[in-house]
Amino acid sequence: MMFPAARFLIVWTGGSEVSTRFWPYLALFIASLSSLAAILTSGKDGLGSGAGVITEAVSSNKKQAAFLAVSFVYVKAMEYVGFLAASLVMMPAVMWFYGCRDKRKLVVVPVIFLAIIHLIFSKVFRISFPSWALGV
Amino acid sequence: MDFFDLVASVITGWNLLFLAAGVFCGIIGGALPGISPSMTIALLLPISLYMPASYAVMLLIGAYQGAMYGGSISAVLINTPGTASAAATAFDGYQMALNGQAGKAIGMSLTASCTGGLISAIILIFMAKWLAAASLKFGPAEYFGVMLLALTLIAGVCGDNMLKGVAAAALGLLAACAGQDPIVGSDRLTFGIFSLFDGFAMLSVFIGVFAMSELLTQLKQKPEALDLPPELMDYKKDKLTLAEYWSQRWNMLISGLIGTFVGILPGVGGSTASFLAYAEAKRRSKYPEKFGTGVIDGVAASEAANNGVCGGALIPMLALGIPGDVVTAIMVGAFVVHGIKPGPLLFSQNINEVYTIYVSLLLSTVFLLLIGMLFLPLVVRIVRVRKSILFPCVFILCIVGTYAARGNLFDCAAMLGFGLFGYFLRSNKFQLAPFIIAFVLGPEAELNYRLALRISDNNYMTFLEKPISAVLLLLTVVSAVFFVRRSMKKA
Repeated sequence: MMFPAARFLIVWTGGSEVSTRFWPYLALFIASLSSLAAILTSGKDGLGSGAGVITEAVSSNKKQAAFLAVSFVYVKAMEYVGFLAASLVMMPAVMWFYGCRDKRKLVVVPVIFLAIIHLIFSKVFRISFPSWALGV
Repeated sequence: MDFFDLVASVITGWNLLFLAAGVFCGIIGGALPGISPSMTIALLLPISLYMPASYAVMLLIGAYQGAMYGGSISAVLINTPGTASAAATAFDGYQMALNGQAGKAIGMSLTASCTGGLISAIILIFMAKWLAAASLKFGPAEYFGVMLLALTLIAGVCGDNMLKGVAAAALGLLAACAGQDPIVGSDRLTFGIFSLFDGFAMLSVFIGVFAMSELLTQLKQKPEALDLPPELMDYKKDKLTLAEYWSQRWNMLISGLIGTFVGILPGVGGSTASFLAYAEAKRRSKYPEKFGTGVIDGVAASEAANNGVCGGALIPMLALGIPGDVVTAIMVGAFVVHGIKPGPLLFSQNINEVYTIYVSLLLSTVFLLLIGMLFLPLVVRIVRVRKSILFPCVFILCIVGTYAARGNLFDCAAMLGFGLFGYFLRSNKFQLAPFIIAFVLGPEAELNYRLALRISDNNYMTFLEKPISAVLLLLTVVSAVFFVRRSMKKA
C-alpha cells in the first residue's frame, strides 16, 4: 500500500497521472517510516516502545482518559439536551477535574460564564446552539 | 490610490477598536500560564469568522503582538513564563522582581516589545513586497519546491529529533488529505462520514491540537496545585525611566533585528529568537557575569526579539503563503476564510488587505504600549485567576468556538480527538509546529505538485529542469542531510 507511493515519487510515470490517493499514501508512508525509526531510537528521548506501551500509557493517564470520555459524552448529550443544559452539568464537572471543591464556585461560575457565552455567541453572533424540546 | 490614501482608508474607528480588543485579549492570553499565543489566536478565530475581513485582521494581528508581550508579565511576577518565548525574560525579569524592581522589569519588557514589534513591522513593509514581486516568477513546480523546503526546515529545526519532526509533518499532511481531492474532487479518507467531505474543520484541528491538548497536559498537575492562586510580586514601585529605556536602544535594535530574521525562518519561532538575542546581548555586554542576576539588558533583549518575530514571521506568510511559525499558520487559515489568500498575488489582488495588515502591525505597537500601561493592574488581577476556574472556562470556549465555525457537533468530537492526538505528541516530545504547518500547507503543496506534473505531462524531471525549483530541491536535500547528521550526532 505504501511502497508504490514511494516508487511513484522517483520514477517517471510515462504520461499517466498520479492517483488521487498518492498524496495520502505518501504521507502515511513517511509518517510510518519516521515513527518507526523514532520508536527504534526512542530509549534516549522519551518515546516508549514495546508491547506494554499502550496499557502503560492508559494506566498513567487515567485522569486524561476519564476527562476525554466525559467530554465525548457531553458533546453527544448536547444533541439531546441542548447546549445550556449539558454545559451547566459539564462545567462544574470540569471544574471538579481541575481541583475546584468550593460548592459555591461550582454553581456560580458556570451560571455566570455560560450566560455570558450564550449572550455573545447566540445573541451577538447569532449562532444557533443545539437546544432541547423546551428551546433552552 | 496612493500609499497615504490606502493607509488612511484602513484607519477607521471600528478597525482601531478591534485592534485594541485584539491587543488586550492577546496580553491576557499571553500572560496566563498555560495559554500560549497560538492558543489565544485559535480561541479568537471563531469570533473573527463573524466579522468583516479588516476587523478580523486587526483583531488577530493585535492579539499576536499582545500575546508575545503578555508572556513576560507572568515571567516577571510569578517566574512562570506565560509563553515559551518569554522563558528568557524570566532569567533576569524575575530576579529584578526579587530585587524589588518588578515595575521596572515589566516597563522594560513592554517598551522593548513595542520597539521590537516596530522594527519588524518596518522590515516587513520593505521586504514583503520585494519578495512577493520576486516570487511572481514562480510556477507550481517552484511553489512545491518552496513548500518542501519549508516543511523540511520546520521538521528539522523544531525539537532535537528530526525523525519526530518528519513524522509530525507527515501526519499533518495526512490529516489535510481528508475530504475532497484538490484536482478531481473525489472524496478520500472520509470513511463514509458526511461531515468529513469538506475535510477536518481548521478550527477543530487548531483548537484541539493547541488548546485541548494543553488542558489535558495541565491535568497532570495535582488538583490542589491547580486550585491555588499564584503569588505575585509587587509591581507598583520602581518604574522604568526614559534614561533607562534609551540606554537599551542598541540592544533593542539588534535584538529586534535578530527576532525579525529568526521569524522569517520557517518554524523557528519566538523562543529561539529570544534566547539568541539574550545570548548576543550577554556577549556584547560589559558585565556579562551579571546576566541572570537581574540586569535590565536581558529583559530588553529577550522581549525585543520575541516581538520582532511577529513581523518576521509575516514576511514569508504574506509574500509566499508560507507561515513562519505556528501562529501565522493559524492566521493563514483565518485569512483564507476571509477571502485573503496569502501569496504573491495578494499584493495585486488584495492590496487593501495588505495595507490593513501593515497598519495593524504598526499601530498594534502603539496600542500595546497604551493598553500595556493602562490595563496592567487588570491584567495582573486576571493572572491571579486560579487554573481550576480558568481551564473549565477555556474548555467551554473550545467547544463553543469549534461548534461556531460550521454549526456541527462532529467538529467538536473531532476537536476532542485532535486534543488527544496533540496530547500524545506533547507527551512523547513531538513538536506541534510541524504538524500544524504541514496541515495548513498540505493542500497547497499537493495542488502545486500535481499541477506541475499535469503541465509537464507527468514528467518528474520538471522539478529539476526549472532552475529555481532545482535550487530549492537541492537546498531541501542539503538541509535534510544536515538535520539528519545533527540528529545522529545528538543521539
